[in-house]
Order: sequence, then structure tokens, then C-alpha cells
Amino acid sequence: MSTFAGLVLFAASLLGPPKPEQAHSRVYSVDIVVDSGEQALGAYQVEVTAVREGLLPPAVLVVEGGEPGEFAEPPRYDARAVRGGRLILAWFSLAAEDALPKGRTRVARVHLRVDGPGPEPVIAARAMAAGNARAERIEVSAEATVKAGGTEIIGHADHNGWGKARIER
Amino acid sequence: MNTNPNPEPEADVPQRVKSALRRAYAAPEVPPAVAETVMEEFRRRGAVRRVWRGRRMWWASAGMAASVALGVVVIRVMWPPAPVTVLPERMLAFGAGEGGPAGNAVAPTIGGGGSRGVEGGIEGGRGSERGDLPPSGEPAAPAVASGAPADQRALADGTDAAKEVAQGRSLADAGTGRFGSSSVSNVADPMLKAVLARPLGDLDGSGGVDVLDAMLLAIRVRDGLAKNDVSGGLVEDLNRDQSIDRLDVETLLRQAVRVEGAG
Repeated sequence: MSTFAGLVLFAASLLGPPKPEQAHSRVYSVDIVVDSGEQALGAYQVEVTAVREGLLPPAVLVVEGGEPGEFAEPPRYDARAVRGGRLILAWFSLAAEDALPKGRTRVARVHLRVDGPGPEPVIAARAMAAGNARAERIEVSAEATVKAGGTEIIGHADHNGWGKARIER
Repeated sequence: MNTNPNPEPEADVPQRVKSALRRAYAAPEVPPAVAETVMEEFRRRGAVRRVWRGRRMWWASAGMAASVALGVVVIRVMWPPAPVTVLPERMLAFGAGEGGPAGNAVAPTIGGGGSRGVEGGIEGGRGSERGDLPPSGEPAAPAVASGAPADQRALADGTDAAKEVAQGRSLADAGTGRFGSSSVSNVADPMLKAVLARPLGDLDGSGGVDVLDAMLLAIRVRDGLAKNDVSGGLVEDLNRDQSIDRLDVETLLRQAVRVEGAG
């Protein structure tokens, strides 16, 4: 009996109280929106940055595609950069110009995990390049918006090589 | 004198010496004493290993080097390398993308000056929108009008890189991609040379690789236009698998989204 109690106490000592990082981890869902105005959006390349002053940047858990349509597929990104606070998303569509979206288009949704207490991350998006249906360069703007009620519970996510993300809810 | 008896004294004697001795002595075998004497004489005079030693080797090496040098000189004299200048007017046919025709035109003239060459080339190649405005505090170049050809304006700038651009000696830049300066400089066609001098994967000539290059390649693959460019598909086969397909598009996309220093 005393041996069993000793084992229990030993296991409890290994578990210990939850670490602060674990207690304060949270997930942000960030919508990446590209505004192409009156022009059809055939391709985009957006730089997403997430920084926390004096702390490690948030880690990218998964990158989802955008709204239903031509950009519903997850964009390509560098899977090695998911912990660096800077990610470049890019994707294009070969659909006809009539089928391409115009105006504000949510092209991706990025889920970030923030560990530990501290300031909220500053998340920004910058349009690097965009094109129309003929791969001609057009002027667009990009913005990153933390989704309302942003914290989500994500079941499992992994980065399958180069930017082919998979999410299981 | 060698005190150890040689069990086979004739074995070390050269064949022509053996033949001469047999003829002289009219015997099928060379007497051991004679053979030993002959070999001793050979060793003493250093005739055994005399072939490539000492002065003889130096003279032979010098002769070979002189022959190679003479051959190079003859080839350079008979077929002198002609300097190739890519005029911006010829390069306008490549124009597409953000860089526009002007930026595209100077891409092949980026030279051995590295980034300085890039700046000089861009300054020299820009059109009338900014090339005629001198920096503040610096005198203008009155002798060259804004509408003058890029090479004349580049010469007027006076920088080394600009002069290289103007003289057409700076067609290749090793820092721009896989095509090194030597391979590019061997290409005769200036149009092809201009394409090869771009960064690898820069299909639209914008000066960098982005998603539009991947989309352009995807459109070309879809429409069956791949390999029909001026390079015969050389710049489109990015993964070097001898075919231009969606894998090359993926390769280009990876290059576009690559984050430097990640991982």
C-alpha cells in the first residue's frame, strides 16, 4: 500500500502544476483579405507577419483556404517558416475572368498559436504581388483581420511539406 | 662493386642491349659477368630513370605550356570575341509585368559589378520618366538628352557599372541565378542571352520571382506553349526533369513563397 502511495506521489510530482505557457496558450484565427477593386483577382502573393514585442512570435498552426470559390484551396507557403513570425502566402487560379472574384476577397485563414502571457500579437498583411486572369500585374491591397470571437479549438493540424495544410476538426 | 650475386642478371638488361651482346658474343645467353658490368654502367650513368627528371621534365613542361598559350593566342586572333550590346529598343519585345519594358531592358546588362551593376543598369535603362532628373546637389548631364539611347545616358553617368553597361561587356551576372557569366557570355543570340541573364524563374522579366511567374508558366503549360519561348524551354524546366509541367509550376511557387532564413 505504501509502495502504491509512493508511486502516486511520484507521478503527481512529475506532472506538477501547469506551466504558465500552457495555461496561457490561445489560438487566433486571422482572415487574410485581398481587395482588388474592380479588377478580377487571378493571383495573389501576400506577406503575413505576426510579432510580439520582446517575445517569440506566434506559431502558425495551419493555413486554410479562403472563401468558397476560386481561392478556396489553401495557398502555398513555406512550411519551414511557421515559427518565424513571417509567412508568404501565394496562390493563383486559371479560371476564366468571369469566374474570378472582384473586390474584397478572403483568400486564406491563418490560425496562430500564442504561448504565454504578454502583449497581444501584432498581425499584419502586405500585398506583394497580384495579377488578373492573364497573369498581368494589378494593384491590390491586403489586410489581416482577427476573426471575431477568434479563439477556436482545432483538433489536429499539420504542415504537409510545402504548404499543403490539412486540418481536421 | 656489387657483392651480392644477381640470380638473373640478364633480367635487368634492356632488350636491345641483350640483343647486341648476343650478337657480339654469338651466344644464346649473355654471360652473367658481362650483364652485371653492363647494368652497373647503366646505373652509374643514371640511364634507367632518366626519362622525366630534372631539366628534361622542365623543358617538356615549358614546351607544353608554350604550346597551349600559342594555341589560345591563335584562336583569339583568328576568332576574336565580338562584344554584344543589347539595346533597350530590342528588348522591348520582352516587356511584361511590373518592371515594364525599361526594367526588363536593362536586366541582361547587369554586370560583374554586382549590385552596383544593377543600380547602374537600372539608372541607365530607365526611360524618360526619371532618367533625366539628376540627384539633388549634383550637376545635370547637359550633353545627353533624356530621349537619348540608354547606353549614351549610361556613359554620361560616369560610373563604372554604367560604363560596363554601355560598352556591352556586362551581360551576365553570376548573382542572378543558375546561369553563370561564362555560360551566358557564350550565347550568341542577344535575345536568348537576355533571357538567360534573368533570375531563374523570372518568366515575366519583373526582376524577381513571384506568383505571377508561376501563373504565367501554368498558363503556358495549359495552353501548350511551353518550350516555345526563345530559350527553347531552358528557363521553364525548373526542376530539370526534361519536361515542363505542373511540377515546374510547383517549383516556381515554392521559390516564390520561400522565406529566407526560415527553418
